[in-house]
Amino acid sequence: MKKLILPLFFSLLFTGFALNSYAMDDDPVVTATATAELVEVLSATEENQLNFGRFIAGESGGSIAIANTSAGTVNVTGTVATIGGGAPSSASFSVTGRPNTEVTVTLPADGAVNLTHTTSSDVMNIATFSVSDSSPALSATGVATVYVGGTLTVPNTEIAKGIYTGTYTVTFAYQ
Amino acid sequence: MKTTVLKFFTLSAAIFAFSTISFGQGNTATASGVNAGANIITPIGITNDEGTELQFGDLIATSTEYTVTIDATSGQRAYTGNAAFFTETGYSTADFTVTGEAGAAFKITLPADGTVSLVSKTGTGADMPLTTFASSIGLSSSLSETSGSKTFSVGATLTVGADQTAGEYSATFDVTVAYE
Repeated sequence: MKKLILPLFFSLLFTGFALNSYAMDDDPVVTATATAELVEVLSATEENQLNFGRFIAGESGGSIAIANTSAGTVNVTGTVATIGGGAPSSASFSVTGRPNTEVTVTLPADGAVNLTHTTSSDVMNIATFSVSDSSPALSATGVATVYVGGTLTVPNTEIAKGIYTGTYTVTFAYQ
Repeated sequence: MKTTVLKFFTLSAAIFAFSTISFGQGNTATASGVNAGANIITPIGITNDEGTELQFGDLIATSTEYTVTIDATSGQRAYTGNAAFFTETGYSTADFTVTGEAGAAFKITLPADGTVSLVSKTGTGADMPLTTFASSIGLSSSLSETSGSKTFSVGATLTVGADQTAGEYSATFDVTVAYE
């Protein structure tokens, strides 16, 4: 009987050792990956201002349209007549962003933009904004140029003479 | 080490069997204490499911700081501030599978805030910290009674700095499991 006590002690000893061994094992760890890609900020600058030039309203007014091309061809209607020296021009915008991607261009809605006389409260409305490419592709170096034109409505001859200015917003966004 | 441990167990169990029988007639209290020592448990393990990464997708740098969160449970992407996404796809949770003793309770340890940041692969951009790591099953769970396994997803929140430099960013993070 005494002989049997010894194995029991050994047994307890071994058990204690074995359990301790497991407890000391490091908890399993797995390493995973996290990623993100930052894309270039899309930015645009106005290189040339939209300019309807210098003109005479005439008896009943009319309109002046600037084409959405680099040349910005001028087209007048009604009694409006252009005068030299006004430097009419389409607007041009330089867009920079992620290379080889397309962007969308959003123009002002009709009726949203007026040119206001510098000293009086007279206004002239610009409508039918148009852009040379409504979804231009940025080049391999991430740039694109677009031209914006519009149509200015000129009231009759009673409108104040002088300079009219205004601002409008063109929005560029990644597609 | 595992082999060694197993041997000890085998030896230990064998002696128990012997001693239990011998003592069974005279000292039952000792015998019952012995039985507990023979309970061998399947070790717990964890793997990162093939091909799953915690992906935030293509983001656009803006002039102000913003955060993007991948929700561990829904897998959806949310944001705060002036966030801008280049694509509406390409984001995901990282998924994991835990295996071990059927029905056993275990706990998950995720990286603490301030320990993991996405680093620019080209070294040109500032690090972007990853915080608020979360698990789809919380930090305590149990292995399936039938399969002895459990899967879960991990999400976190990424802070994108103001005017963050464009480029690819990545990092690794550790997920630890242990029996409770």
